[in-house]
Amino acid sequence: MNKRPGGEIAKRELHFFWLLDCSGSMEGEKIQALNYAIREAIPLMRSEAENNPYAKVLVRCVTFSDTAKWHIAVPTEIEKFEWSDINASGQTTMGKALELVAEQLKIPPMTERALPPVLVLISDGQPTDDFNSGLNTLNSQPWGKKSIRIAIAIGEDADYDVLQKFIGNAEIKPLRANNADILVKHIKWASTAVLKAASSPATNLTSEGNSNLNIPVPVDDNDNNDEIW
Amino acid sequence: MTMIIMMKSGNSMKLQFIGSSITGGSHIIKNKQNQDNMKYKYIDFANIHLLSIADGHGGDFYIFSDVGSEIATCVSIELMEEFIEAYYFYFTYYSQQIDICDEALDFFQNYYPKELISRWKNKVDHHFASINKTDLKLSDIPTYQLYGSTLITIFISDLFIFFGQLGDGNIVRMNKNLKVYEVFEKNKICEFIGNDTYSLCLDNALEYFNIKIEKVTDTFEDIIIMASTDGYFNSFINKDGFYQVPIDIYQIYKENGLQFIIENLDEWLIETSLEGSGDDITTGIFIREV
Repeated sequence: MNKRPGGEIAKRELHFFWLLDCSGSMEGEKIQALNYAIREAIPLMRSEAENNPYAKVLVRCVTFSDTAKWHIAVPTEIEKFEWSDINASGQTTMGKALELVAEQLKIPPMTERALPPVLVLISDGQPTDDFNSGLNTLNSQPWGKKSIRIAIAIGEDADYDVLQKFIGNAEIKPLRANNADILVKHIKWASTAVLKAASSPATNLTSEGNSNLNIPVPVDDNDNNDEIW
Repeated sequence: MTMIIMMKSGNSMKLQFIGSSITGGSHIIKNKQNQDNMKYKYIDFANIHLLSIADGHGGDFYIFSDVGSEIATCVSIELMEEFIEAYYFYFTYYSQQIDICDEALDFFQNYYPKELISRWKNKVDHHFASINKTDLKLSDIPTYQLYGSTLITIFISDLFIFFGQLGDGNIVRMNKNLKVYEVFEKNKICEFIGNDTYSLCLDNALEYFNIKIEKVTDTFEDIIIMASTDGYFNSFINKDGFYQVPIDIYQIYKENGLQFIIENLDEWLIETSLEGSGDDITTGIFIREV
């Protein structure tokens, strides 16, 4: 028998989570731009995944408004990932969204051999529930602590302090998007450059804290654009 | 690059060794070389097997990790040879009368880890001083991290076995009942997840150096001892898939003999990496003749 020894082989999983603010203040142009941006990002993510064949990219999405819920609950291979538009109304239960994600970062269903998950939080306002509790729940999970976190602040009313707390790394700042073009640009970056770095991450020498992520962050050129949210 | 180290046979405890180290699929794509290193030595007069496996860190920071892993295995073998030399008479003329396990405990627990780290750093300093740094874009990363590496080390004799490990990777044993178990249990489930590891380059590396020494008795049950870098474990969908490796290897050995494994091991590892983790894979396997 020439069969190789050992059991079933598999690529290492890379779980990518969109956490999207669908509160009332996102209604209109903001939610339209968000839907458009994520749809535009999908082929780019597929291309990035093809270039990193040793990571199996699985995408999910949580939305939060009056409640937090899974918009796409099943970890979906990026090749099969399709976007259905989200609508906006209600409050901003960001803390609850973090709790939902934290639940999925437990081991199991996560495994020890997975790649550090990527969490991209996009919000235009302030949480209306217990954000700190949600964040603590996320950080209580080993994969929560090790997750790569990116935050995009839509408009000038977004709570940057909250988003910075979510990121949990002083070297990575929330990205600002004051108009549709910048939002599209930031989402493309979050879904490609970040995905690329997360697919073949550097060895992490510490057992505490976030995973290494050494990628150039996009320049903030909001001030060069007339349209402001 | 692949290599296969030919088997050796002992006298009292009859072990055969086979090992292989292959470049991972993801490294081939990026035109990077194998960051792993392995050294094996058989000390014929005393029937002692020495094995060291090291995994140089991945990522753009660790530009000399292949050098770091080679230094690690060299220093490890060097130190174990010094122990054998120091207790030469015990291993040759008195091996049946004198119990040197206390001396071994003292050496491997109190001296070996500290001395290994010290020598590794000295050799890294020496290498770093010797290279031309003109075209290198060195950031603020400390020098030792540029060479960062894990280390697994095994010393097998008729009197005792020593296992040492710093960082990720696996040492597993299989007994006659085909039960597979890790030499070092992970204390915390979150100790190594993702790409976390401890390393020779850490200031507090000594704290994380795991040591185990056992006497070899008549009831010694291992029929396989296998050490590997984490690229192997990370290629399987779960740990049971990885633990199946020594079980299957033993079955193959019984049915087809060692030569068959020698001829196919590198191909199996390449297939495992290509369809699994994409990482370099290095494994050293001791098979006990029955």
